Amino acid sequence: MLEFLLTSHPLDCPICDKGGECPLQNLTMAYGPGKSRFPVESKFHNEKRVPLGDLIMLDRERCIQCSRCVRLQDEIADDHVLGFQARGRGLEIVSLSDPPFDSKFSGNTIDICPVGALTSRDFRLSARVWEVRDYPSVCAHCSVGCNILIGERDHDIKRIVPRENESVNEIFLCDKGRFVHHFATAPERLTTPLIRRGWKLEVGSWNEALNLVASKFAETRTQHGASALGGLGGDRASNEDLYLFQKLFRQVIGSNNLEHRVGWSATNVGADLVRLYGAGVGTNLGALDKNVTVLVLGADPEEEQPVIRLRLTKSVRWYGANLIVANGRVTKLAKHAKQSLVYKYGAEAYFLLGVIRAIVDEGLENRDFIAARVANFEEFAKSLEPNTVERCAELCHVKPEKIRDAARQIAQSPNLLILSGREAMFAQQNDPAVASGIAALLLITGHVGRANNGLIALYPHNNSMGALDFGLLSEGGLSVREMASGKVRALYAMACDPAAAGEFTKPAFLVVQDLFLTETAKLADVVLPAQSFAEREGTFTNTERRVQLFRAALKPIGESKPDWWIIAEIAKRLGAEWKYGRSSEIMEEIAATAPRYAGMTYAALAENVKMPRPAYGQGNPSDQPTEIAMGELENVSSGKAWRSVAESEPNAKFELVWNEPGQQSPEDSRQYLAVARSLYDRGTLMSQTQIVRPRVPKPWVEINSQDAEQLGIENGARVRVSFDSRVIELTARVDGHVPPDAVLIPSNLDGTAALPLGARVKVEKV
Amino acid sequence: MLSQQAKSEIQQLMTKYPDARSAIMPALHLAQREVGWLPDDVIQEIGDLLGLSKTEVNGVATFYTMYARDQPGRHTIMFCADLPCALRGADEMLEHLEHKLGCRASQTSPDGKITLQEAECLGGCNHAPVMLIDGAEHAQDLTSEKIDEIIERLRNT
Ligand code: SF4
Ligand code: SF4
Ligand code: FES
Repeated sequence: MLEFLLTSHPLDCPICDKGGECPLQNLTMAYGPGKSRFPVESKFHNEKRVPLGDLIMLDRERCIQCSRCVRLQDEIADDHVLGFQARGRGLEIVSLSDPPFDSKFSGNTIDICPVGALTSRDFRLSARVWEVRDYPSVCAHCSVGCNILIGERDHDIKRIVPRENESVNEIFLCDKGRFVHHFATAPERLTTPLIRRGWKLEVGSWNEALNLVASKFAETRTQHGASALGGLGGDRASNEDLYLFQKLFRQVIGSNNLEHRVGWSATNVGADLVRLYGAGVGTNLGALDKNVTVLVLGADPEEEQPVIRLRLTKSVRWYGANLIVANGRVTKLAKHAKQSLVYKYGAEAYFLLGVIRAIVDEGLENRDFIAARVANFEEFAKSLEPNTVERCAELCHVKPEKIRDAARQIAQSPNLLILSGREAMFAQQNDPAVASGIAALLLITGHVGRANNGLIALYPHNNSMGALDFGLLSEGGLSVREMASGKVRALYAMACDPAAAGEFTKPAFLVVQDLFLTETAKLADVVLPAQSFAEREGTFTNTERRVQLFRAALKPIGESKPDWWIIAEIAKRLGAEWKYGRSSEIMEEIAATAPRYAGMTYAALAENVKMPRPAYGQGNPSDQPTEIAMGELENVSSGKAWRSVAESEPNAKFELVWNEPGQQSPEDSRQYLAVARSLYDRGTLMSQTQIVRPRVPKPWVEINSQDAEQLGIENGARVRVSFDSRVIELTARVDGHVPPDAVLIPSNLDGTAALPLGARVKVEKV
Repeated sequence: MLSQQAKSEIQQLMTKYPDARSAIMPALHLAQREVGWLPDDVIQEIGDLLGLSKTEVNGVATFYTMYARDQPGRHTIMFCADLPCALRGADEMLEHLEHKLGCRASQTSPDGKITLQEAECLGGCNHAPVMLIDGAEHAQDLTSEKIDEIIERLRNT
């Protein structure tokens, strides 16, 4: 077999990226005949550089036609964009999509290709794999928190590959996680503190910068009180940073003006629900079977949490999970749903209420659970009286039979997971109706407190959950908008860019701590250079509440420092007696004081999990066993999730509430604005990576084809969208995914920041 | 572009199979009958109709030799390349034919008139070597003279 495979294999191992971790090479070394019986002249020669899109390069000569890549795309990624063409010796891999290889998971084919036929256009020919050192880390680009290995050589990140974790990302990554890493060593990184002198930001020393910040903070507090200071901590930062950030404000400064939701349009984001009813520990989204019903509500994981989309699709297709997708539009995930329901945007609460009412009407509620753990079911059921299934159906535009059908599936399924996304959570801005609906649905069916039951809130960023856990929320303090509009006298912005996310008025004193000279940093009085996640250790908490440890891979860039160190230095100068030498000490303090994180020290998180290191062909391979694994990575973290109240307090009783949704806005001739996100954007980290730039879409607005016809708008036309006092120009995408009377705009592209959700907009042709 | 009728026939086809993929082959036949060959936009259209990607449809269309992904000439010659014909000198005949046409197997002659394809046994082994013209006419016991004659005739029709 090997001899056949090699008949037309070019054997250019010395210049092949795969060399050193190539199954074909390893097997040939172990078992192959030393000499081939086929004449060398009969070798086929083929094209060696066929770009399959912007990210992947195909070498047709090396392809052994195993079809792994095709099957990965078809069966796992669900993007059918790779295929064979012709047959026999002429068989070749092609992609006819537009753009070629149009998939968010294309990078995974590089890993599973058993030869060097598919290579990364980024990593290609830049290092030999045995020269690259792997450091276990965690992807910092979205809330899935995929486990990664950072491949470092010469103090630079050469590549990122997945690190297997069956409960988070299995062996997959999305292309954003894999390819967007050049920001870490970009020349634009801040390397020294900057201090404003006159009109200019000038290089300063750490001591000078920190002293200045501390004295200004102290001065502001004496003159205007502690509440004149505010802190915006981005949810990109690690738990250690966020913990110290809030400690600095709450304990040292004495101000409660803390927020992290820069650029989010809602205040009610379900953090409380997650604390109470978060999905049970042990939930594995990639292995849900027919006994689990998954309700994905108002989410588009394809764009926001790609690997969760991939794993849900896999659960449905391989294990028969019962997926129900409900949203105001049709998303990619809906294709695999047993039921795909499209409700009227803005009426999501009535959809939930309809389902709840249908369950109660048919007596499908979980009586035992209710008797044991719900305090006020009878009253609650009474309060539903006026809302019949029919009334809800009329308000949310989903047929009553469909609501009843969904209700039965939800109530009768042994397990229920609800995944709620941005479009549901942010729907009514401050309206708690959706949140109370989700809670009620979980409680009356008794689907909380166990694995595969409960709520997963799909948050936007890698550590949104951590930021919520450490209370960077304006409870009693000022909101993001208030802080950004100059309501504080001194503002400390860490790892966030409020000036790019909306209107921003510079306060009297502004400190920015970031990797780059962001829009906000350009206005700052002091700019402090922080380290990226690749240069330091820390933990992130993913959207499933899993706390995961990442290790440092690079040396610090310039004089940059970890965020926690900077915060601690400021605190010391304000008189606090903080003695943190390493980030692990902060986590020890968190593990001892924060009940949710109890016991989660670095040692406990890493738990000496060992990981096989891929074989790099040392020694005499013929002596090696077939399972070629050489050496191990030690102390790799596979993470630990904190337990929700429903799990940790088995006797706790819960209250059902029903909040009537706020007044439905009167029918309006203008369009309802739905806000989504695009995976690739122009964010601080993305914009530093050349290779993915072609994938960042031009800002667009999605319009239903009926509406488009009425307005005379064609696909691809320029349109003007106006709301409040803003007017933006976008490219129209006309299709059937958004319902009539609504438009959808991703809020993270050029010029589309800070869109108000649920506003009414006017769309016209330019 | 497919006609409305072809499109509705393809949609009809889908109902016969449990899986849309099964309808690819009959749909390709249908399209080829109508258009004569299978250009890119037809592949795309069939994909859209069946809910499959262009890459998937292309895979099937290129796997089977009787689907034409390139624009064929006015006439098509299928030349038998199976064993009995080979034993009777098909190789030399094919070479002769290729010279005559100025193109290789699976290509179309430069004047765009004749497409040459290799085929498996055409069922005429007792008169090997054999080729099939325009799917209808068997030319048997081929010699170079016979081939020359046939090509002259095809070029002029
Ligand atoms: S995985 Fe690699 S070797 Fe296998 S078919 Fe794809 S390109 Fe060829
Ligand atoms: S899904 Fe999210 S966490 Fe995973 S690789 Fe992609 S961006 Fe990173
Ligand atoms: S082998 Fe040529 S016709 Fe049968």
